[in-house]
Amino acid sequence: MTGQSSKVVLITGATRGIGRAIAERFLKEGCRLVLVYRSNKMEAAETEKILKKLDADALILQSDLTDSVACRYVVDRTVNHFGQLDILVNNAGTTYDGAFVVMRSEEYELLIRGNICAPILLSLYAAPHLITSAKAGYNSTIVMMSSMAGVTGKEGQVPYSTTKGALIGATRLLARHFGHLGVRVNALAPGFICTDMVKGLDSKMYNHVLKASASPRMGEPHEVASAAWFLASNASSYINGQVHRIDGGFMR
Amino acid sequence: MPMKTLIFDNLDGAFGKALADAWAKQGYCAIDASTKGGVASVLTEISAPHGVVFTESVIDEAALLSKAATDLDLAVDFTESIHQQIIEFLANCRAATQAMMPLKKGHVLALCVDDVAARVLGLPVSPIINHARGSAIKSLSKEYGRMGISYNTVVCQPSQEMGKKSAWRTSRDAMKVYALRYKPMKTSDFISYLLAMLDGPTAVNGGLICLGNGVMEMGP
Repeated sequence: MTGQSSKVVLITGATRGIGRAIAERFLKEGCRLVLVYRSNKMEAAETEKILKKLDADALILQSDLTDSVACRYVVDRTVNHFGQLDILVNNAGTTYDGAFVVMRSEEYELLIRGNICAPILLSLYAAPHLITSAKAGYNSTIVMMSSMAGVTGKEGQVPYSTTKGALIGATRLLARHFGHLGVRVNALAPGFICTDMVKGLDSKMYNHVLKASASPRMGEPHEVASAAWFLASNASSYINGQVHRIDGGFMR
Repeated sequence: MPMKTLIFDNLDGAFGKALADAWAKQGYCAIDASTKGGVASVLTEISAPHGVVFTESVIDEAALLSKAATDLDLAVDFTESIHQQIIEFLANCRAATQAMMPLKKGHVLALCVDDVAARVLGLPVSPIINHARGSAIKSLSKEYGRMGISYNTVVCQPSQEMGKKSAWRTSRDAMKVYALRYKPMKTSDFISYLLAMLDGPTAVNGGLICLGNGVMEMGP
């Protein structure tokens, strides 16, 4: 453990893929967890089972974070349950892919709410608690989950990449605002990670990823979780407002 | 000389306004879509637009965030503002792309103001919208650049005219992050470059071009 024991961590999108890997990593480091999921009850039940087995001090909440009321609720519930909140991991995100010219705004309206409005709202609602934690001498942080699509752009993912780019801007803005209060805000931009989101990748694209990467393989969720842990821990205490690419050296 | 029509989403910002004026001065047509029902509406009435320009955001996200952080009941107002701007921007990008695809040519240009220098000078900063635009433009370029449309984002440092004399004086040390003995460029310097970009050969597509004196970076 590296000084984060018993910290309270709120993780969104936490019952699958990268989110679950982050939850497992933070648990291993001795944190208390609040895990938020949107809809998949089976995955939530599976996660709960694992947590029980590990005798974890954790709370699992079902919540649709595209609703602003829900954002406030999960933060309030976290603080009511544990009495504090030290780290926020804004991991939840969805994608809506396809040819942009035939998309209608209504089709990606919720994507914008979930991928950019929710992380900002959660950060704002969590901020007073994070500041309290920082004042108590803890290393309070917010970790945003952007994407390589937000850094380099991606065909077929115009609205998704837009929201992930917006999240990079939000990271800069929030870091500047809360930095002097002791709260750091950083973002991760994962590339091709073995999750449900990239399972549909065709072999042509997969081969392109391998050829274009300095590390010719797909990434694993636990590798993103390690980076999230680094950003949330004291080991990164002088890193603020940055975006870190976790992409195996993908060269576009 | 053929009439080249540029459609501007609005003329609220100094760069957007100066570019529209300069475009018109060349004998071309500049339309402020905000006075004519919006970009999509204007595009339905113009058969061959030369391009669409998204002018710099003048919404101060830092001020909105500051208010929201002080009074959490305003947090939703802040995110609704972001939501609305992104929805509008994407809808306008789609309308522009649809209009220019059959022509196999056209420009989509997103203007932004560098938020680091803007912050130092006490001007509005919009990093969220700037980065959203930058990422969208890159994706659009990858997806529709093959249709002959060029999509670019240009990030300009604040021009000399945008900052007060006193602000430039007090920010002299801070501007050393760009260059020693930093001198701001005039609005006309930026506009000359933008005119050349919009009216000359298209050598850039999908670019995030930073204009100004000294070393500038935007994001990762």
